[in-house]
This record gives sequence, C-alpha cells and structure tokens, in this order.
Amino acid sequence: MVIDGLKREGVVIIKMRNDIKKVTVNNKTKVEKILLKIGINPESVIVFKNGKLITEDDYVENGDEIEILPVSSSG
Amino acid sequence: MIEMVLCDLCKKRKAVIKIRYAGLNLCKECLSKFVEQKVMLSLKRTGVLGKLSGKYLIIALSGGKDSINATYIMHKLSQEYDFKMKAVFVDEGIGEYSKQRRAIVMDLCKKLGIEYRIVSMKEEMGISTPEAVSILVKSRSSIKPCSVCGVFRRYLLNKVALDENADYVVTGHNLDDEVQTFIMSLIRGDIRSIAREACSLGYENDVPKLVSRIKPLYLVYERESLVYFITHGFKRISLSCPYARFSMRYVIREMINDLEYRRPGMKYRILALKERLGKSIRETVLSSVEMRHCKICGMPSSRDICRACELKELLVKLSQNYKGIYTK
Repeated sequence: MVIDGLKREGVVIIKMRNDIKKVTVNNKTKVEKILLKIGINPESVIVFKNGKLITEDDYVENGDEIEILPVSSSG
Repeated sequence: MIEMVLCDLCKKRKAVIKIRYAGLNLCKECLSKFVEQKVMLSLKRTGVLGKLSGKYLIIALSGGKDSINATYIMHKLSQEYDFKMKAVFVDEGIGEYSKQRRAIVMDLCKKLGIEYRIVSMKEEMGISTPEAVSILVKSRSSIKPCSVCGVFRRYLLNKVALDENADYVVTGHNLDDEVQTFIMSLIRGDIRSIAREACSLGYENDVPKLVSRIKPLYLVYERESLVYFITHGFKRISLSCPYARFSMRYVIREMINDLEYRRPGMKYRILALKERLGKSIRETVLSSVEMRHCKICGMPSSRDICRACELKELLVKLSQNYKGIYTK
C-alpha cells in the first residue's frame, strides 16, 4: 500500500472466469467504479468480495479479493 | 474496516443485490420475497393462479438457474394452491454439458420429492443437437444451432405434456429472455412472432393439441434470478452450452444491458411496449393465420408441415451429402 499524503492506494485482486488481474485503486473504492474502470457493465454481472455476495454500492480496500460472475453463463 | 451496505427494506441485513430501477439494495431474505411476489403477480395477472387447483403441470427443467428457480417456487405453491407437477428434462446429447445438467435435475427432483421424466432428443427426434450442428456446419447452412435445438425442445415439451395429459407447461423464461426475444423479432421484422408472443405471460390458447404455457419468472430480471438461485444454495454447473455463442441473442443481451445501466427500468419499458404492441396487432396479424395440424406428425402448426418436421427433413436432405449420418 502506498501512502501518498492523504491519498492511499491499494491493490485489489479481481477474478473473472479463469482470468485473474490486480487492479490498483484508491483505498475505499466503490465496486461500481472498479467495474466501470475495467470495462464491465455492473448490470451484467454480480460480485463477490472475499467469497461473499456484495452490491456495486459496496466498497473494497487494499488486499480484498473480488470475483466477478457474469449473469448469463453463456455470454 | 469498511461498512457494509445494508438492505433498504429491513435495514438490518447485509445487501446482496442492487435493484437499480427501484433504487433499492436488498438482502437475501427481502430479495427472496421480492422475486416470489413478482411470481405471484405474473400468475394473478393472467388469471392462472385461480385456476391451478386440481391441475397437472409439466415443468420444463433444464438444470439452469431459471428453470430451477421456477421449479422451486412452483413446488412451494403446489401445496397451497393444490396442484400436481412433474419435471421434464430434455436431453440434447451435448456431451458433458447435458450429463451434468441431467444429474442436477435428478438431484433437485429427489430433494424436493418431485416426479421427473427424461426425454432424449436423439431417441425422439432421431438426432442429437451436436449431430444436427455437425450437419449444419458441414453444409454451411445459415441455420443457427439454437434454432434447431430450441424448436425441437419446444416440440418435445408439448408432445410430453400431451402424452401426460397435462393442463399447463411451465417454463423458466425470465424478463430478459422475453425482452431479447421481442427485440430479435423486431430486427427480423417478424410481426407474427410479436403478435403470438403478445400474451406469452401464460395465456390460455384454444388451439387443440397446444398445451398452454405458464412463465412464473416473466417479471423477474435475469440478474435477480441468479442472485435468488445463489442465495438459496442451489448447485451450479461450470459448463456453458458450447453453441450459445452462435446465437444473435448474445449481442442483443449486451445491448439491452447497456441501455438498462444507462436508463434503469428500460427492460420493463420494453416489456410493456412488447405487450401493448402485440395486443394491438394480434387480431389483424393472427386472423389471417389459420391454425391447422402438421401433415406428418399431427402437431399444431400454422403451415402444412410444422417447423420441427421441416427441420428434420432438411437435416436428412443435407446429411445425404455426408453419407447419411441422419437417416430417420
């Protein structure tokens, strides 16, 4: 975690299907913002944080692991 | 420690879904009530609810999230509303995908204590989905796998329902499915399909040999259905249908989800348009279509030969160029 004055940054691990990526975010970032940042429409997925179902209004912080599941399995 | 988003209705439990068009974050218990209320509303709107007593329902159970939810909810209602039901699984023969789904269906039916029947597409239609796809691909046909598989599945469900003497066929179609089908009909310029689907919320039809349909999830968004499914602890299969990506539905789905995100409630508005448009053209469009019975199989059709028999004949014809994989 980088502490830069008042701005704190953290890394969130994102799992989607077989793809795992790490995204650097401002600490306490809204899930919706992360989804939009990586080009995913929040309306077409559901999100788990550390194994638990959350909504796009929830926040994530450094070290959190989120899993993104497409609403349509065939899509 | 970050605070969790709480449910806007009970204000106690952790929210698991944001219902954007209603401006609500809901917990699993409140979502469950929300979805089940929508099912009741769908059944009441068409007047089906009051007629269920003593009836026999066939439920199309594919092992996917929507048909499992529909089975679970209808099973809960079956005691209160006094009706009987039997699940039907159509085995398309798509390798591991069909096998896993069949296992899930059998497992669920045993747990809920519902009778079930497995119907093999290969045995009933003489061809499995992968065999049909192979013929279509080799002959470079423009017909998509879902067009064959979907027609055959609908055909078999109706056939089984007739055989079982059932009053209704229940399917797991959700609101997203309905909206996508409507947009696809618009794009194709298929006015008949729009007129036919006008009252697809489970209307009673008076066509002999065509069993009426009930769609309990007609007002439920696909996303709500998935969260309902997961929070009820149902088993999911890891495989997707290998042929789904050939369908136009995929493109339409992305487009509609994009619109829904920008304008929450858009799917509801499209559904309302579908109903209004369909009802206003229904008389004019369908009065010129005389329902008769297929000359080959005797099933209801608007033409001399029904679409299922037409496809079967086409596949036989095409396969003759490839040493007749399909000869029935």
